[in-house]
Amino acid sequence: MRRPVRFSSGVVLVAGLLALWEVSARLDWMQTPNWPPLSQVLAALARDILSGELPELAGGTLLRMAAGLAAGGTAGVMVGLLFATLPLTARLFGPTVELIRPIPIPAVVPPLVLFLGLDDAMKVTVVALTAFFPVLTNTMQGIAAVEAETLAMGRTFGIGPLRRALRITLPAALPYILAGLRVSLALALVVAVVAEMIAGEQGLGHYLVMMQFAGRAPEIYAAVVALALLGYALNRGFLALERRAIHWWFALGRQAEG
Amino acid sequence: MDFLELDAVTKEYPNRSGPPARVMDQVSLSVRQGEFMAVLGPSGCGKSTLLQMAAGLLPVSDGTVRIAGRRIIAPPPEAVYVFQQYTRSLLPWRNVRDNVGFAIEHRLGRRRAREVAEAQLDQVGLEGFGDHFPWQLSGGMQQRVAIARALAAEPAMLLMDEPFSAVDALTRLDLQALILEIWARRRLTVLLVTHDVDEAITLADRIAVLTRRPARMAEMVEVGLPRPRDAVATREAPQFLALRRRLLDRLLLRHDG
Ligand SMILES: Nc1ncnc2c1ncn2[C@@H]1O[C@H](COP(=O)(O)OP(=O)(O)O)[C@@H](O)[C@H]1O
Ligand SMILES: [Mg+2]
Repeated sequence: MRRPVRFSSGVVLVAGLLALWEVSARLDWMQTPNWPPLSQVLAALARDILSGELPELAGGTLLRMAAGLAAGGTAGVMVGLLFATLPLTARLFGPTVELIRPIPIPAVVPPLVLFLGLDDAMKVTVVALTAFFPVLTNTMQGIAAVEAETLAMGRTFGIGPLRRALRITLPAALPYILAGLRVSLALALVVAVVAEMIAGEQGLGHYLVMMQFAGRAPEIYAAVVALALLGYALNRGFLALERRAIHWWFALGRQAEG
Repeated sequence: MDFLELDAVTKEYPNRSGPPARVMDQVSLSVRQGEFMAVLGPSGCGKSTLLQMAAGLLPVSDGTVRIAGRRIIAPPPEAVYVFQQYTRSLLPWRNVRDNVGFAIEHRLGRRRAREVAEAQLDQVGLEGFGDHFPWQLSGGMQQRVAIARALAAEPAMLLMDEPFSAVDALTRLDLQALILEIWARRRLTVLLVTHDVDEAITLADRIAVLTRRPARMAEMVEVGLPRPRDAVATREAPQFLALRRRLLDRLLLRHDG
C-alpha cells in the first residue's frame, strides 16, 4: 500500500526543528562548542556507520535487548498464565511481584553487577526484569477478559486444560499480551542503553559515555540520533507484526490498549 | 428409553449478603432418546442454568442429572451445548473451517478435523465458506457454523440455549427449518431452551414449562402436531393456535397453574 507523500503539519514541524538546529548552531546562538550543527552530526553519523563502529555497537545493544525482551516476555506470559489458572499461586507470589515492580530498574544494576559481572549476563537480566512486568500485567488482564462462553465451549467438546490454555486462552489474550510487549519493547531499549552507560564497555550506551568524556559533541549527538531512529524503527516494525498476528482483533474494530 | 434425566434438581447461587439465592427448585424431567423437547419459561427464570447443569457445565446444588444412565458431573461426550451468543463461542482468530474442526481436532488431528469440518459445513449450507472468518459472516451464518461445529463432534444429543434469539425473524425461520431437518436425519435427541412460544410448538414433541424464579416445573405439554413439520405452514394449524393461546396465557399468568 503506497500512498502519495503528503507533508502533514507534523512532518513540517520536524523539518522546521531540524532546520532550526542547523541554523542555531551555525550562528552560534547557544555560544557553546557543545551544540554542533546537524550537518556535522550527520557527517559523524555517516562516518561511524561506514567505519562499521556504530553498526557493531548498535548490533550488540539490540542483541542484548532482544534476548532480555524474549526472556522477560516469555516469563511474563508464563507467570501470567500460571497466576490466572492457579489462583493460589497468584495469592502466594502476587505480593512479592508487587514489591519488586516499583523498584527503578537502574537501581538494581549495581547489585546485579556483583553477581553477574559487567557484561551480557547482567544487561540481559536487567532488560528481562524490565520487560517482565508490563507483559505479566497485560497477560493477566487478557486472560481475565476471556469470555466465559468461550471457555465453556471448550469444555463441552472435552478440551483438556493444556489445550484450553494454548488454543483458547492464549490466542484470546494475545492482543493484550502484544500491547504489554510493545510497552516492554520501548522500555527495553531505554534500559539496555542505561545499563551500558552504568557498567561495562559495551554497546551504544558505553559509546555515548566515552564520547562525552572525550568531549566529541558530534559523535554524542550522532549516537542519540541513531538511538532515536532505532527506537522509531523498532516500534514501527512491531506495529506491523502486530497487525498481522492479530488481524482478527483489528477487524473486530478493537484496539489493544496499553 | 430416557436419555436425559433430571431428578429433583435444585440450584442455588451463593449470595454475598444473606442466604444463597435459590434459582431452581426440585425440577425433574426426562427426555426420551430421539425426542425433541423444548424448555419454555420467562426470561431470567433459570432456563440457561437448567441447560448448563444438563450439559455438565454447571454443578447442581441438589438432585442428579443422568445422561444415558450415567450420572453427569462433567461435560459428557454424548451431549454438546450450543450457545446463545455465537459471537462469543466462535473463535475469531480461526477461520470457519478450523472453528468447526476445533470440536474434534484434539481427537482426530488437524488434518482429519478439516475434512470432517468441510463435510459438516456442506450440511448446514455453508459450502465454500471454510476460508472465511466468523466475523465476515452474518449472524445466521455464524450460528450455522456453531451448529456445524456441534454436529462435527457427532453427539447423540444437542443442548441448545436460545440458539436463534439473536438473529432476525426470517433467519430464525430458516434456522428452525435447518434444525428440524438435522434432528430428523440424524435421529438426535434435542433439548432446546427458548422463551419463544411459537418456536417451542413448531419444533418440539413436548414442552417443559417452567415457573418464574425460582423455577419449578409448571407443566409438561404434549404438542402432538404431525411430522414432518414446516417452520411456516405448521404455524397455521388450528392445533398450533390453540396451544399457543394456552401457553401464552400461562406465561403471562392470565390463568392459575
Ligand atoms: N453466576 C450466577 N450467580 C448468581 N446468580 C445467577 C448466576 N447466573 C444466573 N443467575 C441468576 O439465576 C437466574 C436464572 O438465570 P438464567 O438461567 O440465565 O435464566 P434464563 O436463561 O431463563 O434467562 C437469574 O435470575 C440470574 O440472575
Ligand atoms: Mg438464558
